[in-house]
Amino acid sequence: MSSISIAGVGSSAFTRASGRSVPALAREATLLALADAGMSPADLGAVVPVGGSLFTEDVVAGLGLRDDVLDVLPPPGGNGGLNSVGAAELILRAGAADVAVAVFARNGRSASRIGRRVSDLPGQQFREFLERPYGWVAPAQWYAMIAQRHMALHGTSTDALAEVALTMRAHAQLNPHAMMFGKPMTREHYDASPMVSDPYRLFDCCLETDGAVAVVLTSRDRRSNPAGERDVRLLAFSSARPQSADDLTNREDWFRIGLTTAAPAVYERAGIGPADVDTAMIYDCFTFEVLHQLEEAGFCPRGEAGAFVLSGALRLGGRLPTNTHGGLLSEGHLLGLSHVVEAVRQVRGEAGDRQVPHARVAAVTGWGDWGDGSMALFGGRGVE
Amino acid sequence: MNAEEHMSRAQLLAPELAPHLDGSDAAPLAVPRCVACGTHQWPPRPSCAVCRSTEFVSTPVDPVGTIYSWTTTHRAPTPEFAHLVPYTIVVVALDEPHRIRLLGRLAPTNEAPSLRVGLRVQGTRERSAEGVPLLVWNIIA
Repeated sequence: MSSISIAGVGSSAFTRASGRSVPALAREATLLALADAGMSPADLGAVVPVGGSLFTEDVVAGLGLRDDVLDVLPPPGGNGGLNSVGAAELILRAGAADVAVAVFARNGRSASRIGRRVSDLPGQQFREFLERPYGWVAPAQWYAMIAQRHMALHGTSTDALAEVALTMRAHAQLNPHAMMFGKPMTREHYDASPMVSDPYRLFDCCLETDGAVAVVLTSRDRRSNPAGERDVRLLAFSSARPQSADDLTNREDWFRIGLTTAAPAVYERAGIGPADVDTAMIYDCFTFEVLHQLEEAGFCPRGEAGAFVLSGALRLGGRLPTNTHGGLLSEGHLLGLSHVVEAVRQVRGEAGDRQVPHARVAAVTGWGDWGDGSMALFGGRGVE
Repeated sequence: MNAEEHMSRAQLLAPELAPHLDGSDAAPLAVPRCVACGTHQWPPRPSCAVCRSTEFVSTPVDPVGTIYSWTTTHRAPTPEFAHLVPYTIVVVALDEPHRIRLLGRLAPTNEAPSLRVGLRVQGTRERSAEGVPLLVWNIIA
């Protein structure tokens, strides 16, 4: 089977008010990614736009399908970002095209804030009649509920949540593209930020962003590509859902998420383990979701993510430098496709001041609506 | 939206759910139970999560259980909840043998720094200002 590479990545500026149309943003990011790949639009044989309204979760729940059943359209929540890369991989592996672009664009700050977008998620009958009457309607409130239980069961502390927020913000100070570049955060700032939904303060929550990100994938051999020497191998990708994917409340195990299924599959396919990962880009919609995914991706045992991050593991120079671009918390939120851009830059050795020395393997995770999850591993030169 | 509009919308969009949103305050809390395998199922779905059968019978359950998790919301997610903040939402695990969990609001008089997972709670049925039926939980000794 031919190998699949990331040939190019590109992003528009990340802003609070782009003043541009979504198609214009998508065009800019795609052209930048193609230029990065040494390609032109004529090379593109497939497009995977992130978005859509196909609720695979509803079908899975109704028929009792496997947690990792394949779907071709990316899911509607945050897991859609990395899944667009997975869908592009399927197209390339099927031989239907030899160059594909995964692209996402949104005026997520100035036009379509999160409070309105949740009505595009699966299981709307549960949302409207069982949850909305109680005022349980926002992702910060859903995931606060999971965080609170983890804190009760495992003694996970506010200090650990703060450490995630502070680490992402510190990394953003090394990334001029980040929305929070030039805006450092101290623990005092964090503690003074308003409580949104206990335990989440404002600074536990990701940014809302206008912008676009594109990732060009190819099945072409490195030697036949003008910029092929910089190609980054997509070593493996997998995506899955938690049990009861459209409802959190009655899921048997709240900590068993899509990533719990996807991560071992990815390690097996790539023939490596979590210890081989040099840097990780974890879908950080909220601080606790980073802790949760570190555990389920196998970077630390379940229940121990608090201690893991408090050791400084996520910082540059730590055991697992994480979200070196600042993540959704401090760089910007384009559904995590920007995590792929940073992973590519790290394993290419093009991350500048925030370069992880000798980074060869980067992991990226995706997280969406109540625990859909995915993981991809990317390898730099010499890693096949 | 008033209570009648709420119910007719539920009957239209979620017929499996509608019987369990009964507005009658005196009615016992009832959940679907699979006729084939006996599993109590929540939230209601078109087929049983365990055996995939599609026949259910509505079964009363005792609204007593423990707090499985909770969150107190201080910042209204949308303007319609601004008059309620701060408010606490709980997920309650009902006592065996039902093994189902119900979402609800903690009665405002219960809000205390000692709020934690594992506290015993009892549910009562109330109505929102618009007349929509709600489950409200009170901590019991």
